Amino acid sequence: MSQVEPLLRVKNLQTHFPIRRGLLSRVVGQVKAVEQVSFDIYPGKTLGLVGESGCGKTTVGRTILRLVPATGGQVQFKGDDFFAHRGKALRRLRKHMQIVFQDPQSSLNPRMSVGDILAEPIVAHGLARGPQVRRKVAGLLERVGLDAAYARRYPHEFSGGQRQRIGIARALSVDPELIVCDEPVSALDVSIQSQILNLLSDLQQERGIAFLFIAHNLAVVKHFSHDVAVMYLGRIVEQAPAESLYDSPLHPYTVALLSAAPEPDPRPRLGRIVLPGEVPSPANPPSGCAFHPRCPRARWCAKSAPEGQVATISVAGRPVRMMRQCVQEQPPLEPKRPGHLAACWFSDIRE
Amino acid sequence: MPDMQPTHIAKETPLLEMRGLTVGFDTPRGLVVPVSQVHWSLFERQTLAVVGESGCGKSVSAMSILRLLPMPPGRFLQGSILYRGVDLLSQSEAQMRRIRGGQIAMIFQEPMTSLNPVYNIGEQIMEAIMLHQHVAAAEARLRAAAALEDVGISDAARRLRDFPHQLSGGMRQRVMIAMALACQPKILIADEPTTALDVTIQAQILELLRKLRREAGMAILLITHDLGVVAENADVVAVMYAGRVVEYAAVEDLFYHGLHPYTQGLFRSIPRLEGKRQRLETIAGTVPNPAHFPSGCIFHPRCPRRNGDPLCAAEEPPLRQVRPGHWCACYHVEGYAQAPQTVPQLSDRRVEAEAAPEPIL
Repeated sequence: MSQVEPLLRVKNLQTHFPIRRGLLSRVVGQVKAVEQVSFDIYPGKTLGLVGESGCGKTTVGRTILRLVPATGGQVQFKGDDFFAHRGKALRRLRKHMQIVFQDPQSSLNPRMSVGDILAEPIVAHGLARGPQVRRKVAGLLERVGLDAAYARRYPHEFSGGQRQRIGIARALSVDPELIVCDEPVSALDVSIQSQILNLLSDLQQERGIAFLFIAHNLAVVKHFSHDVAVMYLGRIVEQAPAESLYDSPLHPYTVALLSAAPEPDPRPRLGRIVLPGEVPSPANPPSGCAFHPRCPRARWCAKSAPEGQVATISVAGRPVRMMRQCVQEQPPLEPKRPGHLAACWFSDIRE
Repeated sequence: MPDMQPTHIAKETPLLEMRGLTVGFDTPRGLVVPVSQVHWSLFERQTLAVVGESGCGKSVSAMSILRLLPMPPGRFLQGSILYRGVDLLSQSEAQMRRIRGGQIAMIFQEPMTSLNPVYNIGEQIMEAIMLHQHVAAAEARLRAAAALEDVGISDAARRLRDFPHQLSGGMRQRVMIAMALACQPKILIADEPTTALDVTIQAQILELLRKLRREAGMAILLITHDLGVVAENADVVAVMYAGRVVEYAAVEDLFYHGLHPYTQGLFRSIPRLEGKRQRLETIAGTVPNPAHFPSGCIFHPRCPRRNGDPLCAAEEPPLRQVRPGHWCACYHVEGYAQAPQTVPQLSDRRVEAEAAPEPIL
């Protein structure tokens, strides 16, 4: 796989949002939504990006497509610096990168017929004209499993699953090489969710489309991704091929996420980890490793560590002993095994 | 249904029984019946999960228990809801007010919209305590603080002065649960209690519900679409599809030996963490709209098992006891033709085999 050039290369991506206050709306701080995010997506492959709400996964997707301006870092599409382009050249590149949103209700214009919604990008990018456009729209609708006659209907006439199919058809309309899917199935019912996931994986096989698949549900991501990156508070904390990440996670946050996800199996599960506390605000992230106030491993390691390596911090008003290094130093995201990156000082420790 | 006899399986009397509940709504296009002939039973200290996809009628049937549906346009067309043998549908509004919160409490999916933004949470919890337990404000404040501590909110006395917008989603759901528990109800109805929450917060709330059941001996009616949540919390499960209960069984029976084609399809279509990545199976088509429910068996247009059987399209199969402790509504389940049409009752409770988990902060 290393012989193939990546389709999309993201390097040290950074997105900060200014916090403005007062009459003159002076900038009083920064919400560090995305910090030092790097990954590659290869042609025809899927990178799953997982995390809880507020971890910055959606902002990553939007920053890559320049729907939100980046404050640092690089995005290369086929080796070409995507952030350097403007005007016509930018528009040409945009044709290759599309997005499918979570909520198909609010991402389709209610005053346009489905035919017009699908025709707009085709015409805008000059991919077809006249009666060809209609034919192309009909082909798209059929490809996503809808009747070609639906082109005359309006978004409100469809169910959630059908609307998501329209959203996918719109993304497909310009024959993109990369589609960013931002929680494409989380608003859908279980039986519809599997239909949409199968459609996406068929499209990938047929057309060799690469996906950045953003989701909070680890099981859904596993199903669809070749590689998976886990985000916490704006940073990637673990990144690996899917099998490696699910079979032997290294970061304590990934371990906790996997253990917390309810599995449809009534046999009692042993060793469930219930993480204390909540995700802190990205405007004021904790020092050192951002996960340390909730980390079970940093506490566990402190039990047998020499006193000099232990620090006592206050979590929800209670004193908690944990490893000093976790409180003071940010762990780098580095390979711990071939192809398996994690950002944890104690990634080789098993509780 | 008059011809129904209770089975030998349940020796206790149920705390709450839904008996053939049928709810209709008058719309400009005529009467729509989103919930039809719903039967289930809930016993003391039991968790019953009512599971189904959106629009299956699980929330409408749960709201009917506390009579929270707008009437009109809603109407109870048939059936009864028995709480300790008393039909809630025939109670006066004053009697219902004593039951709501005092005997049966409910928590909802979106805690922000269920909390009043202009009162602090202390006032909101105390209101219920003073109303149902007739105590003075000072005593109610103490009980409210104790309720917050019970749901794992530290520094409770100070937190009582917080307003809902100052709390995170997980905290708000804890406050809702504290409010529901403050009057020590017999039954807690939890309508998608963790759907709006993140995975790690969901784990905290579910752990809290299990603890409450263990320690306060509450019965829980868990309304959810998430089979993972069902697997880990329910004793007994009722699967709903298009306003009907299509299967009712103990949780292991349902998960390992599900009988209804809808239940089986649902299980096969969930992506799982365990096992290899493979193509998901799907259920063809979509859930029907209550205004245009199909004739006969409500699932027949999507059913892979029907095989053109005209009976499925002609007549609706009622819920029958096809195995000991297992009810199903499908003509194509072995033994269905001879199976008795009994009241679905199962007093099963799973053994709490869990080791003490990490403390919840």
